[in-house]
Amino acid sequence: MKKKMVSFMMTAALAAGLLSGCGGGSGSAPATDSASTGTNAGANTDANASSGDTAGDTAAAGELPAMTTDEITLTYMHFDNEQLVNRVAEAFMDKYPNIKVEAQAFSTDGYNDTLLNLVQSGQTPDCFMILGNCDFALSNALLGDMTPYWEADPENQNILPSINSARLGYYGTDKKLATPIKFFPDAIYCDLNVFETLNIEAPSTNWTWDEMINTFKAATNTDAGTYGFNQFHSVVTYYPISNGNNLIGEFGWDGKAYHMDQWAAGVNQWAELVNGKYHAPYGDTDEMEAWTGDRTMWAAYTGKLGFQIDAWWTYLNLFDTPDYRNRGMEWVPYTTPASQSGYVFGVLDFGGISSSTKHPREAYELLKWMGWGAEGWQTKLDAYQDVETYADLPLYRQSMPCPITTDADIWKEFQESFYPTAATRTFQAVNDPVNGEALVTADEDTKYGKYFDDFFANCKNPIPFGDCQIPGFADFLDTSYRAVGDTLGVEDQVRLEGKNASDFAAELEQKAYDANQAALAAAKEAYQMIGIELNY
Amino acid sequence: MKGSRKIKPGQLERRENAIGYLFILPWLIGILVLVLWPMVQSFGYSLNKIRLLPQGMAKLYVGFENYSQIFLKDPDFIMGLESYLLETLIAVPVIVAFSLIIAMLLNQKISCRGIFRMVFFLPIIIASGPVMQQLADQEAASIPMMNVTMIEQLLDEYLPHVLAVSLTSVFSNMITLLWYSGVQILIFLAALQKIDTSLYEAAKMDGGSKWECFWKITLPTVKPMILLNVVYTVIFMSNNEQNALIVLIYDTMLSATGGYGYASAMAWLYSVIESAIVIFFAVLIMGRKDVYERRAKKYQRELRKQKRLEKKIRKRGERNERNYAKQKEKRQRKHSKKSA
Repeated sequence: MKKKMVSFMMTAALAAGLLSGCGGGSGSAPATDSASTGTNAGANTDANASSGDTAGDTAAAGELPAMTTDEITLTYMHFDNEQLVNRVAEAFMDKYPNIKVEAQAFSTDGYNDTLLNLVQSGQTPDCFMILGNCDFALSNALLGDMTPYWEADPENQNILPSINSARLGYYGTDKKLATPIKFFPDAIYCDLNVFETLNIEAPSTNWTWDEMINTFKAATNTDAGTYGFNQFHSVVTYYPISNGNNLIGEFGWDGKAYHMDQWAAGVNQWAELVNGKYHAPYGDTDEMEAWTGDRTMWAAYTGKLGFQIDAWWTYLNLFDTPDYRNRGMEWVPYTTPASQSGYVFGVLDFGGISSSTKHPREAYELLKWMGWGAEGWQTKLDAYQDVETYADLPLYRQSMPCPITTDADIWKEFQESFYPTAATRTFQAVNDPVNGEALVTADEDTKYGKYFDDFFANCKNPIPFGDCQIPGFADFLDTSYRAVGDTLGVEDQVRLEGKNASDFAAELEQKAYDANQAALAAAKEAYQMIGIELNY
Repeated sequence: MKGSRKIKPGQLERRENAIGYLFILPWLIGILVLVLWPMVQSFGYSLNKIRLLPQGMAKLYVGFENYSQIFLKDPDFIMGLESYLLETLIAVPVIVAFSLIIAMLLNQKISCRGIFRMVFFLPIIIASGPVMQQLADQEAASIPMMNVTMIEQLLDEYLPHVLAVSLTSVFSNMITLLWYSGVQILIFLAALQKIDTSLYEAAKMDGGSKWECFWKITLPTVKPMILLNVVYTVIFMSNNEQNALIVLIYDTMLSATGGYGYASAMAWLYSVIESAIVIFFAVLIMGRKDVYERRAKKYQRELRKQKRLEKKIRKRGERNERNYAKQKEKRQRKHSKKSA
């Protein structure tokens, strides 16, 4: 009987263990909550105050306090290129020999989860990148207040203007909690070859929204078998930023509220373009098979596409490779049409200092080196010249971001070193893999160069995706916007069922606002626990 | 016999038991520390609002509010549970049946049997986690020649929409489902190899066809393994990274209004449904008796009846004997009195 009982208990335990499921989601939470503070987490919390050079002192002085001369160690967690970060860390340590930097590189898969695990096990890095969605960092008060440092640092007047004008990283509050540290301008790539084939003019690089739409239509030609555009990033995302007055985010976000009328106009226009066959066929459809003979073909690989709306890294990874060049494609980038305020769209990765770091001043400095500071950028440019990655590729081909500093020398060197400009192309010409000859001639370089020059001149006012700058945005998308069960997502209801997006605007505006307020309330509650008052 | 110790009755048995416990001790420690304790913790989390502050974990007790919020505010999760339930109920029999068929094929004396066995087990080793995700993303999880859209339209015409969608999902992930079969094939193979071949020979001599052999020898013998495989399949399907609910729970953990507490509540609700599925299959399989079990049960019943009857007869006989002896004694006493 006793044996039976033991066997039963063990079997039940095993079954229960297996059935509990979702180990990664909940059960596997790190067991180290010895630091659990109950509901009074604020009691032992204000790490900023524990530092000798407090934020308050800085604000009072109006200038950045001096760096410590004590021997300290700073940890930096990131999903950037490991070799590049290590080079910057070495340069930082050369300048501040008393500071040891430990850079911790993690893959983007499960990155935020890893960060939370580190936090829970008491190993919160002093400064770190956050991946996409800002909510988890705000609702757990991971990000320290760096307002005084930010506002006292003169170098921050010399960065991409939208970071300050759109108050990126404030998240609608009065505290600077994070800031962009990687910048990839969004690009609407134009295949000049298609325009030559159709014998039409390529549009101006300072195009307006309407010019862009008209060009999409002009590049669609049934006889030539060309389509106007294909999108990875969406015109729905771009519309409010390009057309609204002082709107600084998706769905017409102005920093406090949404203006869904702008979003609705964008969705309706997008649906009209897709249904009007100006958009290339989607993958794995009969239409795609009829167009290319291959269901799985990517429209941008056909050589019959006017524009590909995509990310910056697509140029280095695909369009600027022999495979594409040999197919006769001549991709050049355009920025998204700029709004009256000059805003364009770009991908920005954010980072911040930990709310528990004992060395906020030094962590801020390290973050600046890694992200937006001119000294850090100079080190990066040097690294791009001589570092090869593990895959024997030049380092810069690993999705190289653009500088966040607007330092003219940095930008000049950046442009001249890596991209085909009219003036020079000093680095990594694209060579034919068979005979080793350059695929891009000097004449072609001149032809493409002006597009790149204009692109770099126009891209410096980026507005990022909603989830990394608007609290509650991801929740809103998940619960109110995307498909739920058999109900189509809102965009598909407009495109496939012919509904008018404006009919959804009022309801969505309220839901998005509610999600934002709920996320801000959660953030406020968490920050209160560590003694920081967030006002919004 | 100086120095020899007297072994008390039962001492050897207790010693053997202790050695047994020693052997399973690492497992016991593992299950207690790595499974049961985190489970208790996760249930505790589910009753709290959790903040993972760098300064330490902050908990605010909210009782069952997280659970009620799931029903009130999370249509995604509830609908996800529904479709998970239906898809699992449909996919599990497909996987188990497929495993049994493949195991029977691999049990035949065919050339390159070892290679075939390896091929069917290989997906378990290589196509797990991110690899599986990549394959699914590249649409390698469905059979290219199968027109899933047409199947969906057809099913939609005759079945309720929810059921049609779930069935279609099985078709569109057919290859993935077959990839999930490696371990089950192995278990069935082990069971098949343990069947005494003389049973088949005897059946053959009695004129039994292969079809009859399958139903009357193979299936009854591997039946316990069917239940085992069903349980394994349910758990594997429910906990792998391709499961939409797992992804949803994970995302909730990182969301502003979610967090560890809310995600833990979701995980517990999910495990309740998962347990229900396992119980459903267990009852279904264990409740069904095959012809031999029915006959054996009937035979046992008859045997018990016979024993009862024998006992009754024996008791009656004993009683009769006793009565006879008493009467005999009485008679003898009477007789002796008379003679006296």
